[in-house]
Amino acid sequence: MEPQLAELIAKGIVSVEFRHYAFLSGRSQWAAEASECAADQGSFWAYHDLLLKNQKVTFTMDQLKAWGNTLNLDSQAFGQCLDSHKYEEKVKQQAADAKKLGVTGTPTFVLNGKRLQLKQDPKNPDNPFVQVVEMVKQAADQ
Amino acid sequence: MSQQMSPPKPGGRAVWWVALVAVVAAGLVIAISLIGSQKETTTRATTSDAKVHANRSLMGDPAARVKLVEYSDFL
Repeated sequence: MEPQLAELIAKGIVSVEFRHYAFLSGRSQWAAEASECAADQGSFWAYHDLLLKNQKVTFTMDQLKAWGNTLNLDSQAFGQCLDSHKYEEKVKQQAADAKKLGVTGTPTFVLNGKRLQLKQDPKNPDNPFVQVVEMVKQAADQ
Repeated sequence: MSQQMSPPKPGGRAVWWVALVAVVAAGLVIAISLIGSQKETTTRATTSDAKVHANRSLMGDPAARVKLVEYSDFL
């Protein structure tokens, strides 16, 4: 989380919501479901960060469960949640909603209902967040 | 000048035992009440979680005037 964004969130000016657009593979779907299972135990964002940090690791069911253990989640509840695919429909529904909004790739940002058009930034080609934070700050200043 | 302690009297011993039992009982009462209050806290946390449940992946005030939504894939 960008510090400036975190500050605006802490002040109650900005809220950030993560929605799933798991379209790359079945493992994307599993990871999204696992994050929802972590949310059951109040650890969505911690699990989110863990997944992003380990994007190069293959997301197997066992690996997803192991990451739950590293966050000290209730492993039985977490495992049951994953194995039962409790959040399969929710994740798929969010992807379907995203498609309706015209989302075709990730990450896509929507600010106060409007999809952000991000420019190619030669200084930060792999980090769209710099532009996003600027746009959020502008919206907050208005 | 030295003082010699006299051996405890039978009556004094009874008072000591009563005091010990009272202290243990008080400890038990405190322990039970603490366990009770922890349960209450857990229930409160669950209730509070339930409030946030609909927006569990939402960080910040749901009523914030600037709302940023990120659509993403973890892969």
